[in-house]
This record gives sequence, structure tokens and C-alpha cells, in this order.
Amino acid sequence: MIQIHLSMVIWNFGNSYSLIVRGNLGDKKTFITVSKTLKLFECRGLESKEGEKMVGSEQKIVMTYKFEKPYISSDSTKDTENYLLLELRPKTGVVNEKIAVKGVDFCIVLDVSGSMKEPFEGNVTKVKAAVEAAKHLYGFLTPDDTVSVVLYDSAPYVVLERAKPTKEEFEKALEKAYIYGGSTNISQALRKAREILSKNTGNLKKIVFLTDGIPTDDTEQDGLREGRLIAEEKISITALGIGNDFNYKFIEELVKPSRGTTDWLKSPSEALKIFQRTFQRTKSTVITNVTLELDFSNKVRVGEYYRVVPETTYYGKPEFKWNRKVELELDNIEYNRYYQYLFQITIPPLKTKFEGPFRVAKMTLTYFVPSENKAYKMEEDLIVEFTTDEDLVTSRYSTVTDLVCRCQLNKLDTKLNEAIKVNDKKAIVGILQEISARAYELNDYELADHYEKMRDELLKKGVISNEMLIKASNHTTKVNGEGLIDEVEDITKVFKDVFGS
Amino acid sequence: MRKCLNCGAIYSDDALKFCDCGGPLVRIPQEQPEGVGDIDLQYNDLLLSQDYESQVEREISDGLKITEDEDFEVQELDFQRHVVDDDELEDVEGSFLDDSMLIEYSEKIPEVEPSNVIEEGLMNEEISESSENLEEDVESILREIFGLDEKMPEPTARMSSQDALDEESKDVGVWPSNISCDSNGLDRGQVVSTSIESAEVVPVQTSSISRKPIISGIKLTIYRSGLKVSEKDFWFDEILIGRSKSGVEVDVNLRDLDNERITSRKHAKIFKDDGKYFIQRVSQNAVVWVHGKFLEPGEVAQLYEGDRIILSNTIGLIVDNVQPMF
Repeated sequence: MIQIHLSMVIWNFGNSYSLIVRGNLGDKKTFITVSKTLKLFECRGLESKEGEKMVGSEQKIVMTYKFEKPYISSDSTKDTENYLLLELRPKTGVVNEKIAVKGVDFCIVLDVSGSMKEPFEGNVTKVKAAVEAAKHLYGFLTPDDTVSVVLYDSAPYVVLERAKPTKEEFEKALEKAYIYGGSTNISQALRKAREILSKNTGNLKKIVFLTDGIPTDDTEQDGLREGRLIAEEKISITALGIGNDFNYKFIEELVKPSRGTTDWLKSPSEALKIFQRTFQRTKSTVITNVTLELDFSNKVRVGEYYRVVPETTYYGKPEFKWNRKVELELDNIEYNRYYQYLFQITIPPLKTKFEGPFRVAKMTLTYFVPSENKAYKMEEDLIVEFTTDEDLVTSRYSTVTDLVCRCQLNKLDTKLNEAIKVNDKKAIVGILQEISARAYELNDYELADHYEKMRDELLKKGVISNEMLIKASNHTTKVNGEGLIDEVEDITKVFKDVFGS
Repeated sequence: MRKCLNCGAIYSDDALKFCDCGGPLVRIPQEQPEGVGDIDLQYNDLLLSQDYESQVEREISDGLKITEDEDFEVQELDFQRHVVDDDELEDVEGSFLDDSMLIEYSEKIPEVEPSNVIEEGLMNEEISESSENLEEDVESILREIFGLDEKMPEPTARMSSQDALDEESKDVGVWPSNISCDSNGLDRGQVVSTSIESAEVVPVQTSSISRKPIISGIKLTIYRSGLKVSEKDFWFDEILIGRSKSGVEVDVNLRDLDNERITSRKHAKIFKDDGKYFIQRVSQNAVVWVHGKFLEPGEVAQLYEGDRIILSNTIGLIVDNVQPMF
């Protein structure tokens, strides 16, 4: 047997670029992956023969995981703070658009309150932009789909219910939006949409919710409660804000329970693009009812967790009731997208010194493939390695570290909005400083400048404009990208780009 | 049979790969090599199976020629790990005692002298630091934080008959935390507190026999200068207490309670371990007192119902179990 020991080399390129090469050839296989962003080479010893640790050969999902610190010192007498990154992606070659869900029950919930009649861009009002953008749904409808339209101001108006309309009927229904115009009651509208979609048709259920302001006839709490009830009905919701007067954090909180996504319509053309993307994404869904159960080992502790992509969301700390299990509903899987979740983990020191694997948690993933009408289950032990090799102990996955920092931007933005809500100026200034510094560290100068401007505005005028807040929040949800799976890279080209000819 | 490399627990299921603690399980031989008995292992085996018990017992006596009980002494650690934990053990103990036995039991508790105190290490530590001033200081701090007039939450609901005693204890400078009370409403704290009075030493924990550990969820009630400021239930694994300008990194923010900035940004951490809650002093400078125990930086103490935690001259917490909704 030939044993080759690769020496460890770390190159730092500024703050975030690094290259790590390490590992043994022999008993353990070592592999190298090259990231597209050229941020690092990642090498680690695994029992699998090639590629990343893959779970479930017959499965439709490939689950991979990595710990920021994959190796922990056996000699450690203290807790080790670590991060676990879980990634789910549809299995290449098995999952494609052909097995996408056949039927979707769409429900478009449009704000038609008085403020929607205000100009949006040029002569185009917000309501006009929204209606025109929503009309594009028709192009995505298939015979199995149904569509409902709920218009709302101080009350909801159902103008189309679980219909399979002609194009003309659909457009006519949407154009009824021009005749209304009152105050805003969001929760009533969402409740109506939920009631319409709660009938079981076997189809995927989707609410596309649009608002331009804050609730006036009800409260945000009423809206958030509806958001939770919508999630219980397994209805996915995409919340869109139009203009500069809505509360981005509110729509973010609204979609959290159903693992939905948010966006900001800044212009009529943007509105069109975002509506199209929302419809397209819904029709790309291949796997639903994805549930993750993590059964943590006794002394392992769990801190905050995040969804990293397709939209960065801070979920706070999970609550443990009577056991060590956390059960999370995850996003529906689209055939061309991957999904990442990040958990803050504290690993205890060993009671008895040994070298070898340590199970942090036992993972059980269950999901449903509508095209097969079949449920799947996948189980895996999530493992870190205890070792006495000090070189290994110091190794880190800088990609995970990077993601942690980016996710924390979203957390800070969430806290910023909480502080603004209670007018805690000390906290507002503190968070603005911190978030701006973090953004600089990540070389996200645009975001850093934006938060600095917010702080300046606060110090000069005593307030921060809503537009700035929306822009910041929108940015922090997109800070890790949208998780689209690119074409397979030409590895030769990547090497050329890195090392030259 | 498989044994955990980390905690040493034994499993009969050969299909398991990992222990509940996360440690890997390795196969162990069914039969012990002659003359090389693993006492711990054999004892654990005894706990696992009654049928196996006699076999192992024979092996132990044949192989190791054990004649004296002490040769077969079980490590305390193993006992806790595999039978019941210390607190549970005390609860079990308590459940076997009826009223008359309790009185008898109480009467048998010797006068508390430093050498008799259960928490010997704590006692010595406290003595080395202690002075009459310190005792008075702690007492006055407790009064300052939690107030004198307000009836403090009791460790258990069955404490109602002991108000007078509680107050008396406060007046004489006994650590006014959990006056222990058994499930039948009898107070065993009285004996201890009397003893402490006579010993005239710094605050000492009452017997922990009837103290209920905090399990599942923890309720934190924050006091400042004699007033209850807020209370909140937590079910997290970790709760960080500190003074944060932004409030981002802490779960309990002391900023608005502490104008003098005596508390630390990361002052103390409450965490869950094996289903029980513990507090750890994180700060190097700011103090943490828990139920009469002064915590050194990094030191950890288990939390029990009604424990009072001092974080500064004016700020304190009372911890309790989250009561079930039903």
C-alpha cells in the first residue's frame, strides 16, 4: 500500500480568499473540490470513495453536510463552538423538470387599497404594475392548475375562486383591482386565501401575496398569525412588497413559517420579472413536504439556525421541549435549485479521550415526490472527528465561515428592525455600526456603505427612511444568492483561471 | 455487546454505531479475559440484564477472586450515569420517606460545622474568602435586589406554611434562598438554617435533598432594586445574559437595568446539559452568586427551582421550572 501524506498549505488572499490542501492517501480517501468562486480548495478525508459524503443512492435528494471545524481536539477540555452546514439538492440525472408537480392551486392576493393608486413609475400606478405583472401567470398555467384571485383593501373580494379561466376571464378578474381603494386589512385577505386553498385537491398550493403598505384595519400580529396558519395548511407563500412604504421585515416574518420567500418590486419592469420568476419557481417544484428531524446527542447544544439559500433567513434558536429532537419543515425542492441550512452547534469535550468519529446528531429527512406519489425517508449520522493531530484541529472550512458571516448580516438586520420598532436608539446605532463593519469584512462595500448612510441619516435627521430599510433588508435576504444550480463547470477552465496557463 | 468509547455506556444492540452521548460504540468481548476483569464494565453489565447478572457475578468471583465488598466498589460516577443522577437519586430517596421518617431524619442531621457540610469544597472556599462584612454585604445585596417586603417565590408550591421561618431565616442572615421542603410539606431547611446560625459562617447551601432541579424549560424572573422587572420562559439550549448595546448577542439584556455598567457584556451563560440547567460565569470581572455560591470565572453550578442569582448590587434573577400548560 502506498501512503502519501500531503502537507498542509494555507494561502491567504486578503480577508476571505484562502487555499487549503491536506490529507492522507491510504486508509482514508482524500479529495479536493474547487469552488467556482475560487475562494478555496477544500480537502477532507472521508470514508466515501469519491466526492462529498452522499446520502441515499436511491433517493431523489442528495444531502451533504460539513462542519466548519471538521476535526476537534481529543485533548480539549472546553466546549467547541462549531457550525453545521446542511445542503440538499435534487439528484442530478434523476430529478429534472419532467417530474415537476403537475398541478398547482395558485391564489393571487393583491392589495387594492387607496395607496396602490399612487404613481409608481411615470404614469404607471402601483396597482397597474401589479395587475400587469400578475397577468403573466396565465402563460404558466397548465390544465391541472387552478387559479384564485383575492383583491383586498379593508375587506377581501374574491373575484376568481379555484377556476380554470380563459385568458380573457383571468385578465378581466384582475382588472377589477382598479375599482377598489380603501384602507388595508391584510389578515382578512390572507384568511380568505387560506380558506380557498384549504380544500384538498392533491395539488401544490401557492399564495402570491402583494402589499404596498402596512396593515391599517388590523395589526401585523394578526397577519403573522395568519402566516402560521397558512404554514399549517402546507401552503407556500411568496410575499412581495411594492413601492417604498411597506415593512420588509413584516413580510419576511409572514413567510417564515411556510419557508416562503420575499421580494421587493422597485419598478414595473422589476415587478414583471419577479412575478414571472415566482410562477416559474412554483412550477419547477419536484419535491414537497420536506421535513428534517435532527436528534442531537445528549450533551451537544444548539444555538441559532438559518436558512442560507434560496433566501437567507434568521430563525433564532430552536426550542427543545422534552427531548433532544428538532423538527423543521424545509423548503419545497425545485429541480434546478439547492438548499442550505446552517446550525450553530456546541460540542462538549470528551469524557474519555479517544480518536475517532463523534455523532453530533442523527438526521432523518422525509419528503414526498408528487410525480411518483411516493414518500421517501433518509437517515444519516452527522459526524465530527476527534483527533490528536493539531494540524487537523486548526483546519476550517472557510466557505462555512463565510456563510456564517453573511447569515449574521440578516440576523443583525432583523435585530435592527426590532430596535427601530421600539425606538431603541442606542441599539439602532450599535447595530448599524456592527453590521457595517461586518459587511466591510465580507468585502460587501455596497452594503457597508448603505448601512453607514443609514447611520448618518439617523444622526442627522433622527430617522431612517423606509426606502433605505427596505433596500437593506432585501439585500440581506439575497446575500448568499438564490441557490440556482449552474451548468457543470469546465474544470480545465477553472484551473486555467486560477493558475494561468 | 458494544461499549461507548466516550462515556463507557454498554449496549447489547450490536447494530448501534453511536451512543446517545455521540461517542462511537466498539465491540467488546462477551467473556472477560481471565484475571483481567474490568470492574466498571462488569458492573455495567450487571445493570443491563438480570440473566447476565449471575453469570458475570460468577466470572467476577472466579476470575478476580473477590471476597471483600470494597473490591467490588462501584465508582460513584458510574452509578450516577447508569442508574439515576444525583438529584434524581435524592428525589427517589425522598419519595421513600414518610413524615415521621423525615422528622427522624431531620433530627439525625448533625450540627453543621465546616467539616460536616456536604459541599466541602465550597465551604472551604467560602471560608477563605469569608468575613462578617461579606456576609452582611450579600445579605444587603439580596435585600436590595429582591426586596424585603415582597414575598419571594418559593421553591415549591408546598412552601406556604414556611413563610415565617423563611422570614426568620432572612433576619438572622442565613442565605435566604431555597428553604428546602419535601413533597409532604415538611421543611428540612429549618435544621440546616439553625445549624448555620450556630455555626456563624458565611451563607451555606441548604441541604439539596428536596431541591428540584430545573428541567425542560426555565423561567427567568429579573429583579432590580427590589422590583420585579420582567419574566420570560426559555426552552433554548443556551441563554446568554449580558449587557449589550445592540441586544443582538444576548438573550437577556441588562443594558437598561445597569446604568453604572457593572455587569459584563457577556456576563453569564445558562445552558442545558443532560436535560438539566446550569449557569456558568462567563465574565472575568463581574460577579455571579448562585444560591450562596460565589462562582469563579468559568465555573459552573446547577440550577434549582427558586435559586436566586446575583449579577450586581442591584440586579438579580430568580429561576424556576416552566410550569406545564396543562
